[in-house]
Amino acid sequence: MPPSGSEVPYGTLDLMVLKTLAAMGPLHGYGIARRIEQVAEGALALNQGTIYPALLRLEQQGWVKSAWGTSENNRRARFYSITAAGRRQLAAETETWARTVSIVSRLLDHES
Amino acid sequence: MTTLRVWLSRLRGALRGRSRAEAELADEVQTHLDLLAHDFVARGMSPEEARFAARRAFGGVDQAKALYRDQLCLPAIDGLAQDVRFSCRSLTRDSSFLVTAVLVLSLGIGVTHMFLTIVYAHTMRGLPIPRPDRILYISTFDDRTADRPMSYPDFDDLRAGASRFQELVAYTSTPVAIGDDGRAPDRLEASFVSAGAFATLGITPLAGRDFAPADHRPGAAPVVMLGRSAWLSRYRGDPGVIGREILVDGAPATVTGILPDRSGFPSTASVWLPLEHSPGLVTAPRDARGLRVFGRLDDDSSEADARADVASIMSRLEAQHPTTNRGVRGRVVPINERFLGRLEGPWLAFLIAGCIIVLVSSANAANLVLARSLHRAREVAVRTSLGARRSRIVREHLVEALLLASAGGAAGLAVSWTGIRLFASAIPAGTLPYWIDYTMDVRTAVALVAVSLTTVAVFGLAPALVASRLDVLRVLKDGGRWQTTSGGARRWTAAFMTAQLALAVVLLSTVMLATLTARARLPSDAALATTSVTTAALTLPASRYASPDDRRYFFEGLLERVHNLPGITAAAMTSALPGTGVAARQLDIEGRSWPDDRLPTTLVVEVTPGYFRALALAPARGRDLTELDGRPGHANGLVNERFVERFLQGQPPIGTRLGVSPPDRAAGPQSWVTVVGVVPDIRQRSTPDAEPLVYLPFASAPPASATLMVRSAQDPSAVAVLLRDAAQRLDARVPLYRIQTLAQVVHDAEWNPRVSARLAATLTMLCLLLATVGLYAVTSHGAGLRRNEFGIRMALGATPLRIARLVVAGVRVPLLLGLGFGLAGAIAWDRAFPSSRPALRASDPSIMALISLLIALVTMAACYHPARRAATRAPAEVLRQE
Repeated sequence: MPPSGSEVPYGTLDLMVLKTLAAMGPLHGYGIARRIEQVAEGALALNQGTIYPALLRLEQQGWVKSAWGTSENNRRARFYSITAAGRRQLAAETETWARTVSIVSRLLDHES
Repeated sequence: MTTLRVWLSRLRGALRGRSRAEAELADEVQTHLDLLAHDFVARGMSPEEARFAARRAFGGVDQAKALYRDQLCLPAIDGLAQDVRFSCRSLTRDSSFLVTAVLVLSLGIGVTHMFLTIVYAHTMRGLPIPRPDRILYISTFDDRTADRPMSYPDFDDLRAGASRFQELVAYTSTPVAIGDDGRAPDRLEASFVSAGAFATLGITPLAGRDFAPADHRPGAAPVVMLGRSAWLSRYRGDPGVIGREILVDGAPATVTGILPDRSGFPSTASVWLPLEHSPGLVTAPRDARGLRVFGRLDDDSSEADARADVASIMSRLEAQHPTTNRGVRGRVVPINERFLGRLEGPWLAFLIAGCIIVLVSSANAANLVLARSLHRAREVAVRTSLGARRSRIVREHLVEALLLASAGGAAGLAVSWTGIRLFASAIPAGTLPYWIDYTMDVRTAVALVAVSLTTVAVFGLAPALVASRLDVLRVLKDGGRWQTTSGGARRWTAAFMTAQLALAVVLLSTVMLATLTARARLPSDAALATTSVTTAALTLPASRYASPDDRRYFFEGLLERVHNLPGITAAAMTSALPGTGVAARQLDIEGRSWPDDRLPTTLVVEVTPGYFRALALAPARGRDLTELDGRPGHANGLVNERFVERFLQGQPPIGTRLGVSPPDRAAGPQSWVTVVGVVPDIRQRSTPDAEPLVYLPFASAPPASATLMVRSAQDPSAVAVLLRDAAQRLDARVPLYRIQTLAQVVHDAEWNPRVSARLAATLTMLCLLLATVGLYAVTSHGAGLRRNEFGIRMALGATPLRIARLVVAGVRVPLLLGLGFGLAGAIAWDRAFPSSRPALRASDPSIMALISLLIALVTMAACYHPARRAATRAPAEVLRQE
């Protein structure tokens, strides 16, 4: 499935990854990418490769942790899961995101 | 918090190495692509199509990896590692540059570090005791004497009354004879110490025990402690000696313990005794001030508290004992301030010389780097045009400079270590106090790093900035021809070159003149440098040889026995051996008046009649001393030729009557003697030239400490055995010590001027070498800049010789200017600080010619390589590079 639709807004990929892991439990990189694309229903142009730097970033922050396991096609794969700190971060980010969205949409409504 | 965690995690990544993390990522990405492709196949694509589709969906695999990699670790560290690898490669490619630069830096850093270590040992490190700042040294002073020790009664009252000290300790030093049954005694430096001395200094015995308070009570059984080296040499490290009785100056004392090396407090002691056993000390009057006192401060007292404490006790003592203590005050200083040399005079000169050397050597390294960057201009230009940032180029140059400085520092450490070993070995054993130790420690290591970094600041930064400001377009257009130096910088280099050469010339001239004149050649020098004369020191204990007659009787007996030994051709006693120095005394000459009644001074040595026979010297005029001289009615003496030259011009020396003050500066009556002979000059102190000297008969005032000297054709060690035996038979409690040949005595006595001369010569060689390297850098730089011109010239028929001459001509101006300024400076220096006995002046044509020749040789050595390279390159090859 070639990427189509809009670009991933800056800084939101981390949030999406955290949310996905919180909802689905441990997943490998491909699983996360597929899940995000499914939820976006083709509205998002995700370069799946960018998942990995994002995962590294989250792991360095201590929000996700990883363990090696075996994928459904019997290959070595790293499974990521969200940590307690990651859940707290997700909650905080969700709230910030909601607030940002409501401010921006109110502003836009007012202008029109 | 989070940023710190990320940073730590990245640091971990950087340290763990990227390869594993990258391999893991590659695995992960491959799994991802496989799963994607699998999905696409399931949707009906062919495997081939699916693979391409998966790649498209994934986005750029390499971009993702690069992004990942940048986050994995710290890019700065990563880049640094890259720079280090790159610099190592580029440095090892240019081995002649590498060797020259490291050589220059290592000499600069090494010599500076050596100077710092020596100055540090003499003026900064201090005594090896814990918390030396808490140990205060207490001396006394009054209106007449600026600083003197303390008497036992004063010390006792101070110890009893002081409230700010944990412990107050007194000591006094004297040589003693250590003996035991049947074996010849050894003469060792001893220190009498009061209770608690070693605990205060933090010294604990290696074996046995420290003195107990009971050992310090008057009338207690005598005890003694030995230093480790004395224990090893005399008792072969036998632990059985502890608890045994040995003889100290003939009196039995029990050994309680062995103290470690490096505890030779106060200076070079190797025997310690309780202070209270020092003969006559406890009963000494209050104004017999001979004790040195120190104490450890209470934890909650300051230096000022201690000062007030001591001051109040001293003024109380003044009130109680007005006759002995009028105006006597206490002085309190930290112990290291008392013991350490001050950072002045030669030490300061050392330090300044070190700074100059390190600056000159790093400036030379800078010239080398500049010369080299010429060859790299094209590379830098290409990289800049490909997008390398200036900061990156500067950083790379700095990394290279750091690498060079590290190599220079490491090699410099070897230079410094060797230099310090040489320096230390030139100093006779037992000359330096135990706490002067040229070992390196943390602080000297820090100094090494600091010095190395200083060189980086000088030779790394400037070329780096020059390279980063490179005009890329011009370099690429000119095919790599690039002026590294602007006109200003070139002038600066030439000025630096000139100054460096001038400095080398001044040093060269000074050292050459000093070597020629430092030691006026005395006819007696050869006579003194002999192994046929054996000398041995001895000291008569004051307890049993109190009167001059007792001492005279002993010395006469000793000489008589020695004369009768087989193979001894001459024997004599003297108060001071040649070269070992002697205090000057006031001199009066009959019938002479002195301006302002200021008497001149002269050196005075007491000798027995055989002295000049033993030295194989004969009086130039008059006669030698005889056994009769010095007896009542025969107050006769000798003077040397320098004395005649200085004081007896225009009058017959024989028959002149001289008045000489007594040896201890006390204003005693002068003793008058008649000059009966004039003897050859002998260097009595380690001065450049002989000084006026009066020889008095030994018998008229025999000192307690004197030196025996005998002439014999036998082996010196055999003579030593004979002498020891003879002294033993006369008095078993009087040991002979410092048994040496006269040649050894004179050699040791000259250590100070010898070391100075060696240091000066080393510095000069270093300066010349640095100047050579500087010349080399400048000529090779200049030749490189003009290589196209040279190519054209050669193509047009110029001979290689002509090209070589052109290369050398590039440094003609700084060379001639440097030589000129240097010679002028040398002449000015010689005028300002003329040597006492100039054999040659700096303006002498032969000296100037010799120096010019040396500089010409140095120039040829420096220019040979660049000139040869320029002259032998085929013109076609050079022009093809256009």
